[in-house]
Amino acid sequence: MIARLGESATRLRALFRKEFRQLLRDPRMRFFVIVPPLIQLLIFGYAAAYDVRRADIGVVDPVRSAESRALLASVTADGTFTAFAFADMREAARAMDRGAVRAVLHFSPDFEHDRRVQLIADGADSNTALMIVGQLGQALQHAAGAAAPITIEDRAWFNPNLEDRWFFVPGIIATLLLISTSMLIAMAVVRERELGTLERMMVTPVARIEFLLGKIAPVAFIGLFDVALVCAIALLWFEVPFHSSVWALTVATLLFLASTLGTGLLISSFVATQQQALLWMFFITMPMILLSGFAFPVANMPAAAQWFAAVNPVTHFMFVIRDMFLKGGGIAVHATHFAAMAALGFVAVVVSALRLR
Amino acid sequence: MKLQRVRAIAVKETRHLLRDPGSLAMMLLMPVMLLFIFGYAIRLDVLEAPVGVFQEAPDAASSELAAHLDASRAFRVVARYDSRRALGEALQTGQIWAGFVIPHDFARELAGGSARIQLLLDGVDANTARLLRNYARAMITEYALRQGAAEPPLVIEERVWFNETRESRYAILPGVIALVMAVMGALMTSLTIAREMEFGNLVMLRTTPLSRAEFLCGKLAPYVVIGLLDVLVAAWLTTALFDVPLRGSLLALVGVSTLFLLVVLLQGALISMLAGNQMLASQMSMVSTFLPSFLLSGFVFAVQNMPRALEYLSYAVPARYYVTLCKAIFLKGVGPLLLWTEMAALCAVLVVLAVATFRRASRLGLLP
Repeated sequence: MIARLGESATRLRALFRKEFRQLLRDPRMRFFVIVPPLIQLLIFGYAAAYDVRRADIGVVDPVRSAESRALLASVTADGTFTAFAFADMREAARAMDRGAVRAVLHFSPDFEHDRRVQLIADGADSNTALMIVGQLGQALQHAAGAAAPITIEDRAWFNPNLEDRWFFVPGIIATLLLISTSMLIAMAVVRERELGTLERMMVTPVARIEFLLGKIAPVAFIGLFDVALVCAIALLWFEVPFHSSVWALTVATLLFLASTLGTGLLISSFVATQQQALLWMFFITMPMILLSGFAFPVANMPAAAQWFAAVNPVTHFMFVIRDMFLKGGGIAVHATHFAAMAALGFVAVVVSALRLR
Repeated sequence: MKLQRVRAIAVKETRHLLRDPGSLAMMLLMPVMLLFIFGYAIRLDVLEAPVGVFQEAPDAASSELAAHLDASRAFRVVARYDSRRALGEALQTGQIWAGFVIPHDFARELAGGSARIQLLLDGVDANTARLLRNYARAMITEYALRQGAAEPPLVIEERVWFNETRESRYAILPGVIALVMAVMGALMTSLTIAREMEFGNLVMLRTTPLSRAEFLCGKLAPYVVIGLLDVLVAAWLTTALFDVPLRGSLLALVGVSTLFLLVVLLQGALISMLAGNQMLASQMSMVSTFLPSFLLSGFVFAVQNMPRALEYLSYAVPARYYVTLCKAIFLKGVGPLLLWTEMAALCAVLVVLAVATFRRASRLGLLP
């Protein structure tokens, strides 16, 4: 028994060496393990913003009364909105068609008496339109001297400045891990099948489980490495707070890795070529990401999508990692999600191990 | 360039495709799946968000305000708490997305003409928090008006053009078509040449009279057909199933889509040749097509909201122009001529990619 374990360990060591070398032999591959995650994080950190901080708006003001000009000056004072004057609505509408302005303020010709103003937003971007209508409308009323009978003091917990970045950066860790690790392992297995080396592997004394472990180890290592890298940037560069422990994060990552690797192995168990693997990867990971609450809240989704979210490991990891970074809910809040990830990961790995031939 | 040779390559590539009906089906089903996800499952606006209320004094005025919040489309009061602490805990565990604290002197202050209430938001999802804040402000103003407060000084008539009902779906779905095209184009072609390189077929082609142009045209032709089928299916679903209006012409959409398709297919071919093996090509195509098309194209995140550096970077992302064109053709009903800058940019990208692909092909030893 001991001797057999020893042999197994020797084989495993040889396999690990082979797999690591194979995966990281190509310098371009080494590059692709490190650089794209960084680029993705940086771009996401800066690009994924729903917040309207800068908007060009058109103004149609036939009379140009002193009051309308004063209003305009006051709503554009903080630099969020930049006003461009148009002679009439036709011109303004053309600018809107081209996408040159995102909203148009149309003062009534009789503004001094009827105090009417039209606020038109470009609905081709519905989120921005809602934000602009809300923000600009309020700024106008306020500038016109509205005294609100009820004031709302709002305070955002966990993210006082409502930085979109704080929401997206932890989420990136989840999507990155899913995409890179499941794809790497699926491709690594299918490549051996496509090139015929999988068959040769079968005639060696390597057991199925050893083969799988050999494949899993380097990819899991890359996954952990990427998470560490991305977390470091999140903390040091984007200064996202972290309210949990490194150990909790590591456990969560390992549990999640089991399901991402399981997903990749599952795909590799029923495809014949790398091309099919890539297509399947996309077909499966896209819904997993889109319906995980990564960019669009799960609670807004219809029931069927919410059921899917419940059996989607990404949803659970997404929740846990956001909670760890921003809220620090602790094990009481995380326990069910940890259990779900463990169960899903276990099922995925076992099913794919059984299917792999 | 001989048509006969182009056809031979195209026939060979088509056979490859037909031999694997599973993949072919997936290439045609991918747009359908994405449209269903974005059309049915995803919405950017907030409906019936779970909120909690803590009334410091449960008098008539504050109960009425709570009822008013509950009656709105935006909020659903899921729980009333008897302490600020309990409300805070519910916010911490995520049971509620926002909590209203109505102070004990609310009724008295409201009668006096200036009351305050407190709104605690779960800021983790910043966008949802901002939307909830805006809804809350609008609701409270409406409530105050109903209580007989003075009319606000301006009469603001709010309109949202091109999308009067403010359905986020309308704004998103035309962009999904662009996302689908960008992804499919790259997925379909990025591996096909890398595969031939891996198996050494490309070396054999050197011994044939086949030229670079013939090889590329033949190789990409079947994918142009599949891509256009995808566009048509997606456009049909978008309009027929999800009721998004197609205000512009279908011809303009097909024309613009063909142009964009050529861009992404060439991009895939170039990636394929640069990588030389499928593993690397798959990583490269994921990073260089899907992410930029999702993030830097204005598909969900408006380019104008980004820092300047990224805004400039987005000019290098072809999907950006296609998303703008798609949205304009669907929602605004304007032709590609009004958006000639976008069209010109797409043409420029196409030329650059074609030159780069050809140069790469000659370095691989294909005939001129």
